[in-house]
Amino acid sequence: MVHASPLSLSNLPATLAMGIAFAPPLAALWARRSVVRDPAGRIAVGWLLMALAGSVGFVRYFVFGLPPMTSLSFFVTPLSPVLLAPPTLTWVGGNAKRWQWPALAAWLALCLVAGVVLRDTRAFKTVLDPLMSLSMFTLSGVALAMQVRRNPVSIGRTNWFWILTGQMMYFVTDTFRQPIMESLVARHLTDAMMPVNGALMLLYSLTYLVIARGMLLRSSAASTQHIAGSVGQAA
Amino acid sequence: MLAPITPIRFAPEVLSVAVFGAGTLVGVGVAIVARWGARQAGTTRAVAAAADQLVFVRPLAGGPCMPLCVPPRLASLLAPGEVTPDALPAWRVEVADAIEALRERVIASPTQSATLEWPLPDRRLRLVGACIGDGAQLLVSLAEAGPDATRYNQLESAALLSSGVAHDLMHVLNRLVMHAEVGAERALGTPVLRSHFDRIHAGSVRASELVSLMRRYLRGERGTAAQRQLVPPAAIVEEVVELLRPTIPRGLEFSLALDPSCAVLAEPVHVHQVVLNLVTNAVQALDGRPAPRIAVAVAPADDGRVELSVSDNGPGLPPAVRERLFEPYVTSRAASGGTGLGLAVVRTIVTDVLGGEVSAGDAPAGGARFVVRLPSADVHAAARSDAREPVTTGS
Repeated sequence: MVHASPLSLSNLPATLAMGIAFAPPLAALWARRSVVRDPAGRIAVGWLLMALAGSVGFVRYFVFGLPPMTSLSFFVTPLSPVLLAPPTLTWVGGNAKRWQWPALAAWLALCLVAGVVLRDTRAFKTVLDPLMSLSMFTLSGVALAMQVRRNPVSIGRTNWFWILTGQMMYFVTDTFRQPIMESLVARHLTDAMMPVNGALMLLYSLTYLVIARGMLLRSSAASTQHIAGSVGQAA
Repeated sequence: MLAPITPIRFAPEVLSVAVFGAGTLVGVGVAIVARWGARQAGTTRAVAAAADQLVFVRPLAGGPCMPLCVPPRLASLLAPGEVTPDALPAWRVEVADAIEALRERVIASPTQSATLEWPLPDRRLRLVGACIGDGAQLLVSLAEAGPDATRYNQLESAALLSSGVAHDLMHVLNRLVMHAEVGAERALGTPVLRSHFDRIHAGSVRASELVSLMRRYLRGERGTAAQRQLVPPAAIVEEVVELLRPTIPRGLEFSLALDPSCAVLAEPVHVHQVVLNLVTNAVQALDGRPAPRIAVAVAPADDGRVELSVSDNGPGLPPAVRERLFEPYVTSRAASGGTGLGLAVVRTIVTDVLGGEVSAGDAPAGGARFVVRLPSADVHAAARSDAREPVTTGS
């Protein structure tokens, strides 16, 4: 039984966002990025898995009329940093990579504790999504700043600039999405939910396009890293 | 139909915390960016102040020149668009030569950062070069951070301070010269005493010349051809040795091999300063060494120039300072009061004023050996003659 049309005016932003969510991995595929050595390729894998997880909820809601949030959400929030943080740390450079496994282990432990305590998927996401998004927003910002310091000329032609800018836009939006939606529910402002969700989905769509733009740029991450390493050595 | 959803009571509080957290992060980020921007603005001012001096980069593999390690918004100020080497204005040639020298040093030791100064009419600008990546690009920038900036400021401060000191010192030296003359007149009947007064007089006159020279440098004057004369370096060496003899440690042996026929076209005070600094440097290097010995030689070089060499049998040049020996404030005797200015002065006079070259190496018998090569007066005369020749043959 179909309960809502994904192409109705109110649902169109969500449908659009769902489709464009696949733009970053498709762009990486188009640019033939390595998913092993290229940080951008590894980031694309992360976005692909997140898009697939999102599409499960999309299909559940629009095709089967079931709530979009499932027990899968218990895994998406903890795993997002596991997929995206290591390649982003590559762009931070220096000794940052030393901290990736201790930090991720602490994060997963925190998620486990939160999952046991909160149990409910929505409550879990309401608490942990802002925390995760703020952390990833900070990490992307630091990586962007470090890369800009190393490459002061023509940053608009580098893949990392677009990818990290897109990630910052995505995670700053994601910081507020779940709390806003749940606050609207808690205050019984259900009429505002669709337009607010639509606006957020349009913002998500924009961030996916920005990330996809970076994925398409041919300046390889390997050469970026090489120069960055050499500059560090020279300095 | 979807089941009604139960509200999460703490959702508004989470939203507040998220807003506060994001706001704090953004605030910290803005503060950091503002601080960075202020530093960049400082760089902009520094470069704008040196607007007719060039901060330039030329890829080692050739191709268009471009600023590399300069903030993007300065790029238009430094080199609008891409400038080919052929389009360089004439005044940039000096910079191109300096960069070429720096490039050679970078190639010689690619893993090390190389530093080069080049003299400019009113100030010194430090170039910092580095070899990066397989493209071996050359970075050149105003050194605005780190120890280089400290030393640059040190130079600026020293120049300001020197101006005042030179002014006061001139008064003192004038009185010294006057009293030495009066003393020499009154000691006519006592030859030994008179010789002491004569030495005081000669030393004071030379010191006055040095101070005058320093004041000229501080005013940005380089001297003119009219102020130059035929100077035999051999005579200057003898004069310097005589001047230093009272202060030379007992037992230090001087070996002089001086060709009196060699002459250079220069101001005597310049040659005097070069010899004085090199010999003083050697004397200080031999402090506490057994059987100290300094050899000074003046002889015509194979290429027609005049070669002045000063060797000692001291400990030699420490590897730590060998690369940067002629840079100001680089010294291996910092603990014993060395300023690191003597060899920098020698280099500036020899290369910038006299048009020669100076090098440092190891003496055959151990120790250090400094060699100065100056254009001989004959070469100058020949050059002038060549310059006039087309006119005479054409008429």
